[in-house]
This record gives sequence, C-alpha cells and structure tokens, in this order.
Amino acid sequence: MSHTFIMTVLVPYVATTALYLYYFSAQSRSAEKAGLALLAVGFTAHTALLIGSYITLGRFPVIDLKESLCFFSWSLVALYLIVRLRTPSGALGVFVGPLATGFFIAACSITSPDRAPDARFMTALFPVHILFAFLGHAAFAFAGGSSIMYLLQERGLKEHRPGPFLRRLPSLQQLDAMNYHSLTVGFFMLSLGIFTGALWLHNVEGRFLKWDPKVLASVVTWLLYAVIMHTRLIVGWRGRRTAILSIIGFCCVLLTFLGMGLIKPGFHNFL
Amino acid sequence: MEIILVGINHRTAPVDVRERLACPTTEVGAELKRLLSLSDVEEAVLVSTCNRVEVYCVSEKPLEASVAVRAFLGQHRGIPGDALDPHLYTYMGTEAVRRLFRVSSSLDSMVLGEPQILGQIKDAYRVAATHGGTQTLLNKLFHRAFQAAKRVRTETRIGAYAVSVASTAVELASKIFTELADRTVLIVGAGEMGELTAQHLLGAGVTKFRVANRTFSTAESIARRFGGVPAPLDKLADELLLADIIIATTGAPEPIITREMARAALKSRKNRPMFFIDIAVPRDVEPGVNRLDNAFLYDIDDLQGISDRNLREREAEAARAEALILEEVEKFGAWRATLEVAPTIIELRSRFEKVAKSELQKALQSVPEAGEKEKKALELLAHNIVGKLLHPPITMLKKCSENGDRDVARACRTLFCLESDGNEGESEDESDAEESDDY
Repeated sequence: MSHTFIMTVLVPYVATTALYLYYFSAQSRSAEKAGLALLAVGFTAHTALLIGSYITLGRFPVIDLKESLCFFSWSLVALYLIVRLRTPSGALGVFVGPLATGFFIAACSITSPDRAPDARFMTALFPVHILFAFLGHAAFAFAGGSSIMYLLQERGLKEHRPGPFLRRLPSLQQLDAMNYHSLTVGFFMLSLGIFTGALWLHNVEGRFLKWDPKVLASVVTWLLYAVIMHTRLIVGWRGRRTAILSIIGFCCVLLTFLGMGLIKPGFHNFL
Repeated sequence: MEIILVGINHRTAPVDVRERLACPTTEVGAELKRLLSLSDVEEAVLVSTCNRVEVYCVSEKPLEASVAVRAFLGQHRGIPGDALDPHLYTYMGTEAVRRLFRVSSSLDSMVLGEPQILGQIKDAYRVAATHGGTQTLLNKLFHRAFQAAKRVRTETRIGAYAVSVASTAVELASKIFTELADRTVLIVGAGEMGELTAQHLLGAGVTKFRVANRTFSTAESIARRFGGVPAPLDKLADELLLADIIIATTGAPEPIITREMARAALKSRKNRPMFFIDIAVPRDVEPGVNRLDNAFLYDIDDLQGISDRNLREREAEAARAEALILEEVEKFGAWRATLEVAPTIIELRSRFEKVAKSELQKALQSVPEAGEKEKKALELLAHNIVGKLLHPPITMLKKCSENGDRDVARACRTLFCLESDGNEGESEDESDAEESDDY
C-alpha cells in the first residue's frame, strides 16, 4: 500500500468522522450530507486499494491482522452505506464513522509479517468465507451501536430528564428496529461464514473442523447470537434487554476478532 | 415624518382592561377609518389580539398624534382616560420600529416564541392596507417586520422546543415511537387537559383513538370528536392491550392503572412499548409502572418540568434573536434615511429639467426649418446632458444620507436655491420610492 494511496482513504474517513461528530453536536443536516459524500469518496478509494492489493499479492488480502483490520473497516463502511441509502437517519454514522476510521488507522500503523505464498488462500471459496464472516461482524457492530444509542435514549426517557441525547438520537422504536435488522442480517451472514469456512477447510485439508481458538470462539459467538435471536423472536424480548445482550454479543465479536488470534497463533492467527 | 406606537399588552394591563379595549375582527376596518380621520394621523395599522392592542401610525407631528391616539383608544371603548392611561405605552421612531419587530418575532409574546402572533400581525396589516391605512412608510415597516420575524425563526431555535404540557407529551411520544400515525391512543377519563393533549396528538397525525369512561355516553361524545371508538371503563384492561399511548385524565381518587395491569398488557403485547401520560391529580397510574421495561410514564409534574426547562432554552435563544432584531432595525433606519433625501433629489432633477426644457424651446424657435429628426436629436441631447451632470451628485447624496449625513443634502438645497423645506411633493416621491422597493 503506497503512502499516497492510504491518504486518499484516510483523509476522507477522518473528515467524515469530524463531520459526523459535528452533525451530532450541532444537529446540522448539511454536515451529515457532506460527511456521507466524503465517506463515499473514501470508500471508493478503499475499494480500489483492496483491488490493488489483490492484484499485486495474487490472493484475497485478508491474511494477517493488518489486512483483516483494513478489510473490517471496509466492511463497516460498505454496510453503513447500504443501510444509509435505505434509512433517512445518519445517527448510526456517528458510531460507525469513528469505528471504521479507527480500524483503518490501526491497520495502517502495523506492518504485515513476510509470508510465503500459501495455496490454501488462493481457492475461490476463501474470499466468500471472509466476506460473509466480515459482513456478519460488521452487522453485529451495528446492532451494538444502535443498542448503545437505545440505552442512552431509554435512560433519558425513563428518568424524565431528557438530556442532550433526546433530540439528537432517533426514536426508541427506530433504534430497536435497527437492532433487529442488524441482528438478523448479522446472524445470517455469520452462519453462512461458518458454513463456507467449513467447506473451505474441507476442500484444502479434507476435514470440516479444526479446533483452534478462533473457530471455538466463533461457534460460541454464533450460539450467543442464536440465543439473542431466540429471546427476541420467540420469548418476545425487545428494547432494553435485547440492547444489553447485543452489546455483550459485540464484545464477544471483538474478542473473537482480535483477542483469540493474539492468544494462540493457529492458522487463524491473523484474525 | 415619525413612526409612533401606542398600545397596551399583557405586561402593562390586566385582562379586564385588555378585553375592554380589544377590537373584534369585524370592526377593525371601521375603527381604522376613525383613526385615520384624526387630523395628525397619516398612516395607521391597528393590531388587536387577546394579549395586545396596538396602534402603529405615522405623523408629521408625533407628539400631537400620540396624544390624539391615546385619547381615541380610551374614548371609543368608553374607558375614562385616567383609567387607561397608566396601562398605555407610547414609543416613537427607532424604538417603535424595534417594538414591532420584536412583537412580530414573538419575542414579546406571553409564550415566548409562539408562532401565531406573526399571522395576527400579517392580518392586521392586510386589513389596514385594504382600508388605505398604509402608505410608503408603514408598508415598508411591516414588510421589514415580517422579514425580521422570518430571520428569527430560521436563524435561531426560538420555536424549536415544546413549551406546553400537551406539546411536550407529543414530542416525547415521537421519541418513543417512529410513526405516530400508526399508533393507537387511549383516552381514559374526560379531563380538559387530556383532551388538549389528544388534540395535539391528532395534529401530529394520530388517527386511531379509543376512549374509556365510567359514563359510556361521555365516552361516546369524546370518541365522536376524535373519530374514535368508545369503551366502558371496566374494559380498561382489554383496552390497554391495544393502546400504544395512554392519556389518563380521570377524577378517580385511587390509581386506576396498576403496575400489574401494565405488566400484563406489556406481556401480551410482546413488549411493544407503552407511553403513559398521566395528567390526572390525584394520579391515575401507579408510579411503579415506569420501572417496567418498555413502559414510559410521565405525570403532570414531569411534563411541566420539561416544558419549563424548554422555555428557559427558548429564553437563551431570545438573546440571539434580539441581536438579529437590532440589525434589522438598523437596516430599516438606513432605508428611511434615503427616503428623507428623496425630495431633494426630485427637486434638483426637476429644476435642471426645467432649465433644459426652456433652453431647448428657445433653440428650436431660432431654427424653424428643423425637421422631426433634428428636433428629436436636440431633445435627447438636452436630456442626456442633464442626466450625466446630475448622476454623480445624486449618487453622493444617497450615499451620504445612508450614512446619516444630512448636511450634504442641506448644502445642496442652499446651493441650488431649492426653496421649499422638503415636504412639498413628498407623497409623490414616496410612492416612487415604494415602487422601486416594493415586494
């Protein structure tokens, strides 16, 4: 990744973050629109950056921690742009903007270890597995973000002291709906991610399961979200309880994503 | 010419004085005619709302006019002068302008920032305009007032926060539910405040109303007003299952909606949120309801507390609005200054034109053989010479008067022996100015 190329992504992302924070504090619609436009610019450059890496490396560029952070940042922005096209509120951007920018900066600040070309990562199923898993994680980030906003809004309303958040955050119902949609999409994506991951492993190593910490943590995460979906759909929980569970779930995702790879380097050590 | 304001408002006069002085809408026109017949009043607008009666007028002799208007206000409503006098205020010139701008922008309203006053001022102006009460000065003044009010509304957040119990309830509801139009409102009881809140919700787009009342016929009559469905009070538990927003406003001595009832309702609603607006005293909903997940309970004190806080935010915005008003008052002052110099300009021009015309006549008489074409050319020549000679001094005159410098105009009058004191022909040139400045 050349320095100039990185800047074409980083500068719009940082500017977007600043604009979104300004939008939130000053409630300026035009700042939100400008932020969205800049985010689209940064995203285009980001996509070009990934395609460039793909061509030079000859493989999908999500092998080590640096590449994963970069791609997770891309997944967050991609999903946000899709969501923003469908909903008029930019409130989620206040959460996603800094998060995506933070991950991108983290990606820029570490270097990839040298690694011999590995035929396992050249197969067609590998990018599919990665894409589903990452978009799933991004969706869980959205569920977590909307849940944090829900809890803030709910606390203000319960305590009869509508603070600075009341006017700035969307309605509880809208936040709850965001949480529900994010959970559904995330759960579906993560399921597909695990499934395609198993298929990929079978293709390259002839077995469906390999017990490294990352796989274990992913299965635990999947089970946790299965429980959340169950309480939401069957038991009828919603609002505050689902919000708390979604935040716990997202913490698990972060742990799976970053923590497990650091504890024990298996073949998933990059993630 | 001076702008004068004479009036009373809710700060200077109690309601019994205001209501005696208030002028019914249908009579404003006739009243205005009587006002205009006063000898010193040249233009007039009469504003009469429940919180204020104000006369804005224009006069050559502001002191005499203000005395006449004060006397007029008392006389025609049969209020003795000394009874009314302590409540009346009189402002002139810039201060009168500032007052009107403040009133139009709702900075002087009983409920700071309420939007109705601008419409009332507009109506008053329209009536005066149709009755010939307004000319250049008041036309401009009122248009500038509407402009100022618009600026205040768009550039400050003076009207942004709900400041009544009912509108606060609606604002809170819209922070719980996304689409108020799809929600069902249950009105329990028949309190006036409750109906007012329901009215606000109706205004916010709610269409589904249900009404529960101890007396079924009362429920029916309220339901008819909101296009809703009536129900007896003993079916309250069932009604709660359907309701997203509950307005409780009964006179019951004990809470009629218990925590258990709310819990049961939430359970069978699959925890879809419920918003309880309890405006009854003593309260109708057990306070414990607020501790249930997805239930939000506000009593009258909570709502009043929020309205009060919002009002304080409006007051903070009002300070910014005052600064805007001052800017607008200054702009109006600059316009007036150009108006004062207008008679000088007109006279100067007509003096020059007159000279040119008589010299042209003499020249044409000396060349009787000149044809149509030559005559036209000479006329154009004379006209252009006058125009070009006068352009720089007239520009300078306008500029100086905008900056408040009246000496230049005076010097000009002396230099060119423009004898009259500037009032002659004023109405004529005012209408000129109005044309060019009209909206």
